[in-house]
Amino acid sequence: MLVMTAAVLAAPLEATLFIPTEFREVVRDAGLIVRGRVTDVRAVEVRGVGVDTVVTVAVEAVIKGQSEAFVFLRVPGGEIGRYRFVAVSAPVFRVGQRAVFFLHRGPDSAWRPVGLTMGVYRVQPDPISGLPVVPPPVVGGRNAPVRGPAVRGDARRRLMPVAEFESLVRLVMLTPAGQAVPRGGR
Amino acid sequence: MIRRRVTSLAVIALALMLSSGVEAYLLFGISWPPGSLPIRYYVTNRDVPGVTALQLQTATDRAFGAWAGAPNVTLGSQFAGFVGANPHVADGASVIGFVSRPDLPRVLGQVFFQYDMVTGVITESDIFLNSIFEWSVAPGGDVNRFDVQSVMTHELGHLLGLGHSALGETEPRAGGGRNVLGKRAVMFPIAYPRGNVADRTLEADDLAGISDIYGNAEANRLLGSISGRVTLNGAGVFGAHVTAFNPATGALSAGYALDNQGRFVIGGLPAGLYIVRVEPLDDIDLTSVFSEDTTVNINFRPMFYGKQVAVPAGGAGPSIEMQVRAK
Repeated sequence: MLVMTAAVLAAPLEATLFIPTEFREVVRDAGLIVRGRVTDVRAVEVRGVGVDTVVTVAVEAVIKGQSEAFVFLRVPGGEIGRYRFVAVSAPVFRVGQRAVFFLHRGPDSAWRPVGLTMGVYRVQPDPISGLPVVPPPVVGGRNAPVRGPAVRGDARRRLMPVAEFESLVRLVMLTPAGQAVPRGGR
Repeated sequence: MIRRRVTSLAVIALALMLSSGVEAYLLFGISWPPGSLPIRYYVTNRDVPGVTALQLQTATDRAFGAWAGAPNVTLGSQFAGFVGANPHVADGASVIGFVSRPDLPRVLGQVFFQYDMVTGVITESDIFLNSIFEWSVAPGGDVNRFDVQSVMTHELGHLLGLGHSALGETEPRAGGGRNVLGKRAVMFPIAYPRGNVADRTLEADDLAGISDIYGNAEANRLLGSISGRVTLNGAGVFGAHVTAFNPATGALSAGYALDNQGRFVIGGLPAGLYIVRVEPLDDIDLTSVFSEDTTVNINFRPMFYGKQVAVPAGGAGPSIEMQVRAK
């Protein structure tokens, strides 16, 4: 007998166990990095697997790779009819959301976020100024020590303006593997 | 179309509540009601190199046992048999098994729920372990393989209703990647390296979380909570991470401010005096913890509450306000 009570699956609900991954790997593994706005979200059944959601993104800027005006990416889970199929730790999208997407080609050639939520940096309003910002990635040598733990509260890690974040991504792309990312500007 | 054998499932209406989400650790807001226990699960009858289906079932049973063995909780599980079905195929049965997911190269395991948005009933909950990785059930672990029981313990925590804990610390690794320096919760979202079996054993934070959901009358009598607000310039700080450390026992538990008033509750705590600290979650993937529509503030400095906070047995200590300063 399978009986569960469910409250709000739309509330905080993220779950999965990841292998340790660093931001530089996310950048490296992404064949396509774009900033864009979600314009459509559509769930499809995948035989023998479950349900995927196809997300249409209107591209605002291309940071890595080549892209048309729209990118279609897939994430596990979605809604079909009265049923919601929740793949915990898979990012969930709604029309109108903006984000920077780090995408890789899956075995089916579809674009998918690198490391599920790790490959999606949502653009959110700054809690104080309201300006669009993204959470900062931890980058050794830039906003965290090259060696040793990334200590919470480090003043170098603040919500970042989108342009600054994209500059950081480009800097990471230019930094040879195994080298610390230079601090550069701010 | 998805096959929906929900008629074979007992259905209990549920409450769409807790949307304010003022809860500790991270609770999904789902739980298995007493009438649904023991939790019945199936195992996919497929071996992978190093682990047979029977060994997977045995490790799963042990992982369930870790949660059910928490003090003063009411939980149980029952193996219902081997099946040919994969996890996360919508067949109305809770299935656990190995699946090759090369499209998820950084994911060791994952939990799926299917639920009926009309009735609110969860009709299926499955777990897969990603067989693109090498797995082991060796008693002491295998340095070249991930430990089935450890990862299953984490995933079952989700299945039981727990979200991710932020009680863990990582460092960049020379040449790329990160090392997990330490975890104080099985529910920390980043795995220990291959060979490590520490996540077979629940930590204080896991125990507090599971007690908060499935605690019995004895838990209600013995355990208490800490609650309060985190504010910055008078405004609530959504997403602030609040930790409670008991210096007498060494136990560490934590929760989050989960509304725009910055309110938090850490329940399931043994009575005692606690050192309370608040910190920004500026070192983790925020969307692995919070839902997509939330605006998390990390632009503040960590701080300790000015005095120790007494948690009474069976009750709540005084509500505290932690006024943080901007970075």
